[in-house]
Amino acid sequence: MKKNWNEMLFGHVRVTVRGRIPEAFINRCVKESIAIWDIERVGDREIVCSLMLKDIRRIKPILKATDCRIHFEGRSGLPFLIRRLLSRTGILIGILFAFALIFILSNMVWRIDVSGADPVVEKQIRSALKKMNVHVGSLTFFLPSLETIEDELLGQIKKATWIGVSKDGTTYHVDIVQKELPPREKETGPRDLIATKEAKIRRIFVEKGVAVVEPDQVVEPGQLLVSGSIGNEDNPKFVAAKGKVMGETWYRSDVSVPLKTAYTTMTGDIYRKHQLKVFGWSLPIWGFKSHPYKEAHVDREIKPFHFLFWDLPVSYERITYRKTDTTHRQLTMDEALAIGKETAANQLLQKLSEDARVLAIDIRKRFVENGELHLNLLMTVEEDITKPRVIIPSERIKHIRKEKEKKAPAS
Amino acid sequence: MARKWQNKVQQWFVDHTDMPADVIMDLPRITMIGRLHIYIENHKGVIAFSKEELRLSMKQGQLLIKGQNFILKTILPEEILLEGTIKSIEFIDG
Repeated sequence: MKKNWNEMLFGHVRVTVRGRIPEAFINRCVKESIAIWDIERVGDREIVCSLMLKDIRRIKPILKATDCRIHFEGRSGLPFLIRRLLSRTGILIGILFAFALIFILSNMVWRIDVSGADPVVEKQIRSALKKMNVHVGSLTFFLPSLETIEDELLGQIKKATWIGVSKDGTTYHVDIVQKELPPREKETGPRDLIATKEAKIRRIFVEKGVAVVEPDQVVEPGQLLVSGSIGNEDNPKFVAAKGKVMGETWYRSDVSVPLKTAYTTMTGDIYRKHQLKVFGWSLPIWGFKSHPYKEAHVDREIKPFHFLFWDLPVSYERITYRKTDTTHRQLTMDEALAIGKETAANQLLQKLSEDARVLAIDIRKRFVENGELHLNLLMTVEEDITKPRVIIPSERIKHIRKEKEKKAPAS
Repeated sequence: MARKWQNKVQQWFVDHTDMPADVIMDLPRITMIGRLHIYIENHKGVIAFSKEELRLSMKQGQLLIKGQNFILKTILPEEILLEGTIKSIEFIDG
């Protein structure tokens, strides 16, 4: 019946009503809309019935009016159940302990999946994670955030181009894209090395082939630097020329440096707040100042709590205020010049090959406008200027023969 | 005399419209499920109740239910649900 769950939830009692006319008692109860059910006749002047616990007080006057007496037989329902449970602390502690256990286990790392890594890298990742306390069995609220883990891993695993860390319940997934090392240079066919740009030769290193230029010589783009044909004219052999020709090259660049800069530094003072977020409300646990510093960099770290598959509406939040200072700095002309030169050099070197270096920087033009120092610089750079060019042996042989023929009548 | 007149009007209403008789004439509506349950609406109070007998007051007269192992499962101002083995129902004119 529809009443059943009601009965379960609210306390009710089973009573014996003894009196001359118990029917009168029933009728009065009904009239006063007191719930009464499961009425049974047990004796000549006795009935047994069920009543709600909350109605017990209201039946007292009815009993008096109908000249009946009441005797309690049994109690049931949630209030009584709770009272009985409370008297058995063992069960209560057990239940609490079970909930605490489920709660802790729900917030534990149960598995770490690594995908996309070869066994060696996977081992590296796992040991790096272990150093950060991310291992099976650790509690998630003591672990660093996913972004921190990603950054840390990316810093430690040199072979990774990209690392993504995601969390799915109690499982961490680490996806990694490994760097493909370029395959070893294959044996290439015969080639020459030619110049890529106009330059003055400074140094020449030849591994294979014959150098046809000398230091201090100025070369044009496309000019032959190291020849791939070796051997004498009658019996030419062809190799893939290999080597480096370091040439002096020149670049112009424009930079501007603001003379007045504002920059913020962290003073090292830290103020931490710990709080629980319950249904969007913040409940501070530790740290009660609202704005500890005038200027601060604020980091918020939120750790949600889980229970089985559910996200609880409760989360732990740690707010870190790092005190900052803002200072204005007026650069002197010399400082601004140094900064301008450095930025220009760095910008240029990024575009050039690895072994390039700046030899000298000449200031061609400089003027101050709108609080900025504008510079026009000429930079002298030493860099590798070689570029391979394929040789077709049969054509080269023809070419050599032609040269020889040209020479022959002359001699 | 007036009461008789009212009854006649009500009777006429029941005969000539589709309105149910229990609504118009304030009669008891009795529903039985086999002989296990009996459900009575529009009663006017319990006169006597025992394991073998339930006597209910009606608008006109009484209703006497006889049987065995009677339990009053529910009792509300207008409704009663009785459980047990029902043997007979009898209308007693008052």
